[in-house]
Amino acid sequence: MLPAALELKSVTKKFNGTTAVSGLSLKIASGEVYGLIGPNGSGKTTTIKMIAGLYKPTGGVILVGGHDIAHAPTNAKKLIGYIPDDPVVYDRLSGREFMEFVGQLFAMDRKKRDKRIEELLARYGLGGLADGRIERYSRGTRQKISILAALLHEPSLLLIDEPMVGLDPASARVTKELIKEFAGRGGAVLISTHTLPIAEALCARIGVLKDGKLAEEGTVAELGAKAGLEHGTLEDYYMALTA
Amino acid sequence: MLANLAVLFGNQSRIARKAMREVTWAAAAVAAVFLVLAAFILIASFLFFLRAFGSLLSDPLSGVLIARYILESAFAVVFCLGVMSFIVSSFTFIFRSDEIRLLAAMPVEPLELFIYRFAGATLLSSWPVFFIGVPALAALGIALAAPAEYYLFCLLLLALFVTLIAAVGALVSFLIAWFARRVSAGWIWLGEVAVFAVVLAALLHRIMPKALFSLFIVITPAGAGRAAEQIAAMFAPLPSHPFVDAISAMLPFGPVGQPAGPAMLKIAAGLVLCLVALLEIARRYFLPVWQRHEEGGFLARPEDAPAARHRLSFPRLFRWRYSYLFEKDLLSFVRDPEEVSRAGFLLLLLLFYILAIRSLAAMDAMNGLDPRSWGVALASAAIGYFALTMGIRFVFPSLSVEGKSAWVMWSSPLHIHEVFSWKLFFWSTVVSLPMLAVAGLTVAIFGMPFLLGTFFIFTVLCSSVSLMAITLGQGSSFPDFRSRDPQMLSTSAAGLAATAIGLGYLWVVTRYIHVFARKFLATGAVDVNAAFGILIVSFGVIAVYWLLAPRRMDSLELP
Repeated sequence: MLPAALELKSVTKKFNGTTAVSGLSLKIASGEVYGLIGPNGSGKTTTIKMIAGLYKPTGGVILVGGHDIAHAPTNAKKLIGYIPDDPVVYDRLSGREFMEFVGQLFAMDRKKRDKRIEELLARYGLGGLADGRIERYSRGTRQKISILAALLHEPSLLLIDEPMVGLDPASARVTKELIKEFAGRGGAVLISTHTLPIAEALCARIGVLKDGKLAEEGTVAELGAKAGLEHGTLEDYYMALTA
Repeated sequence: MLANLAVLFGNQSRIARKAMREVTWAAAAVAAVFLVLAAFILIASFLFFLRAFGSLLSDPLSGVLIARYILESAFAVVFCLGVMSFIVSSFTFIFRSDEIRLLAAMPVEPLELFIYRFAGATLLSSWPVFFIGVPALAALGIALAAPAEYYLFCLLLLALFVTLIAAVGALVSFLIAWFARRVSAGWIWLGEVAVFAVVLAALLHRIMPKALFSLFIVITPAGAGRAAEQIAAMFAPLPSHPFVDAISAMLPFGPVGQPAGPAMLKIAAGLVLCLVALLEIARRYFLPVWQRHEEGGFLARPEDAPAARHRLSFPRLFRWRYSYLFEKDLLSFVRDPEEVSRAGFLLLLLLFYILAIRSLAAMDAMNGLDPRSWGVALASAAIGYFALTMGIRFVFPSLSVEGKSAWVMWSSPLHIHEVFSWKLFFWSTVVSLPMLAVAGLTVAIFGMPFLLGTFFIFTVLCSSVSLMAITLGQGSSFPDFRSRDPQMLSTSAAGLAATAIGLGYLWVVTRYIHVFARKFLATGAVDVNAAFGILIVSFGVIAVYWLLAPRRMDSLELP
């Protein structure tokens, strides 16, 4: 049996005695888009940063494609594409240079890398702008570059922290298409977001985090049932579950 | 207009008071150490001038001439350093200031904004006056038993001098900022470095002619008068000259009976002219120039622009294993005109140091002493000190200033050891190359024998790499990803520790090279112990940081 694309087993994270994430367990299969929602400070970004290898869990195990991020970080990270909540990248490089640099970090073949960069830049129509310095980009353009850089090495797990912030409607649509295509090709996606319509439109399952714990988990319909609401939107269910 | 300026300065004062109230013991300790260091430099400078003026002024012919020459040179150097310092700081402080970005959207006159930032930049660029001008005038006053009014007059004169330096610096900065609207940032720093080099060369050519020493060999009062006129003619075109003229009119020093009036008139006229021109230019052009920099259109490209043709993909030069990390750091550095300007400015200061050491060595040589063994050690220490300064300013904060971009490498499958190794390689190369060039120049200036020269260059190489290991190791082990201000980062407790360790290392190396040079120059024999001492100490420092810093980096959590 193939291992899950991502598996968290009783993961805990404490900062100076304050618990940010407590005993979190979840599993995401290949081809699945999973959404994490919850109030500010509920532990969404901390969870994603632990999976990306930026934070060390205080307890528990994180397996990416069967590789433990704590003991085999290099093998685990090879499988991950990470899009942070704040798309800060090297200001003095151009967008294209930044993507080429990321390709080098993931040891991609140069020809394959350059071909794929052209394909990806074309998705947002960024051909010319990609040769300008990142320091002069708008927030949206930085976000687009960091999304494309995460997809560049064709990872098997995509970690996205707030995917649509700063994007115009057309770019947000392209981003949704990119995520769906990625999942359609068998990639697993973990999205952390406050934009509930995005989670509703993209995610097969959604986890509601509250005070660092997984309060509820399921499809949108299952969350509605758990919230005791027969009709409504994810926003209605969210308000009921986090009240 | 005054009301707005009062609000702006009042706010600064409130921020400063709040910072003082909330100061931590670590910050207080760092501030105290810096105050002690500043006091040490000030006292050392004062003692140097006191000793020089004290012994020179006892000789009414040559001594007075040399003292006058030293004062003229000191003021000329202060003027140049001050103007250069103003230009270097003006871009971040005036034309690309984050605070202006906020204030420009408020109903504040552009001229008020300019005056507000100009005042800050003036304070920043006044350090050469504080560390050279003030001790020189105080020492001169004591050497000549000057009356109390002399010191009051000097205070007024120095205040005017600081204002003139800032006004000239601001006018040149405006000129650069104006042209910078049309050329790329790379050309700005290249131009700045070229202008600095030309100004330095022209200044040295003017104040250090080949026949300088023969100028001071006078045996009659008439000869002294002619030599004094020659010295006055040498410095006459420099804006610092009327200030020295005014000082010598106050004291029995230089041509007797010279009135202060004409010199003060020149100072007043020059100052009024510069300030009027500056304020008028600022009133008319500050906002458009600042706006153009804010737009930064010369760096970005329109969204529908065609992709660049014939471009080489990254990495262009360094394609071996992880060497692309080197190219990334190199591109980020050379594309930052402000950082490159600061590095260039530090190199110019180093050249000043080396020439000063050479001049002192030459003076001792005239007294029949062999200055070379201490001269060689001092020159090595000076180069090491500047390498340490560059390390503290640029290398120590290099991981911290990646700040929120650090996720790129930390989330990739790259080993942190590789990141550290390549950063060490990058900074060792960037700092060692100019240091080796200066070392080569020093060997030539001092006329060192081949073996001693080779050992000197070897020592500079060892100390440059070791100091980069110390500063990078400390900065990478204790980064602050939330601050992107290199100056704040450098003055943290970890930065201070890096400075202390670096100075300790330099002290050991300087002792070894002094032992080596003394033995070699006296007997022609090579002191193997000293050579191995430098090698072992350097290797030890590099090995400790190379082994420990990546471990510490691996345990870091990014914000």
